[in-house]
Amino acid sequence: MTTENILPEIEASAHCDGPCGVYDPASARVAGEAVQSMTKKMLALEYPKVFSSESMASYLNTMSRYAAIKDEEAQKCKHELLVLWTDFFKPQHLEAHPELHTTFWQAAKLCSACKVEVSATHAQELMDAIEAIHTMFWAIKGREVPWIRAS
Amino acid sequence: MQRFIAVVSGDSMWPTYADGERLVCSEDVSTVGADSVIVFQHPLRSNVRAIKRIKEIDDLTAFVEGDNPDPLASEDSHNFGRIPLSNLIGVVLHVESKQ
Repeated sequence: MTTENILPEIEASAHCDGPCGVYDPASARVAGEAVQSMTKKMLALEYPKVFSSESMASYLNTMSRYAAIKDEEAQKCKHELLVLWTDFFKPQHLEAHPELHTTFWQAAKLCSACKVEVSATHAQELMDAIEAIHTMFWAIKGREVPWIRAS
Repeated sequence: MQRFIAVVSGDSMWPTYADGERLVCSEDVSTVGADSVIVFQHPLRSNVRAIKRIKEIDDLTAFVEGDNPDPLASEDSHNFGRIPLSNLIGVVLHVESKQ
């Protein structure tokens, strides 16, 4: 035993400005799911078989609502991802996750792609990227949190 | 002068000191200067003792900063301003040796 073993002990706070633990990639996941859901609905929506002012109005109204929600949720998803990327993740996390920057960059680009396209492929790739971020996030937090989708 | 152990809680001193690292400190702060790593009473939260590096010091106050290069990783003088030297609790001497 050394004298250091019997020294009094205190905690020395070395925390960041923001309260730790308020981040969660679930917000991005929910927005991403909405993007994928709207994309699927847009691709599945059938053109009216009976052409009339009323049927066209209904079709265009439904399609435009799907598009508006897809656009809004993709922007929300991008925002949530950027907050995680720039605020939660720190330089020390790159040691264990060297792919971190590329993963976020691609995920943010997929949000933009999902806004300007109606692509089931890109919507799925966005969800895959969010799942990868979910895995990195909870590994850093030292917790096992399963990837569960709402839809 | 009394010595004590400061257990680092958080990542603001990374890469110099990691979360959970145990540091041997001295209560003798008479020789601290720029670049010393100090333990001090948080100026705005009476129940918090913090660890940071002195970047600049005068007769009465010090500007302290975390070592983490991420500007969001440390709450320090950039947030709460200069600290009075009367808030100093100790200075870090070295990492506790592992037995």
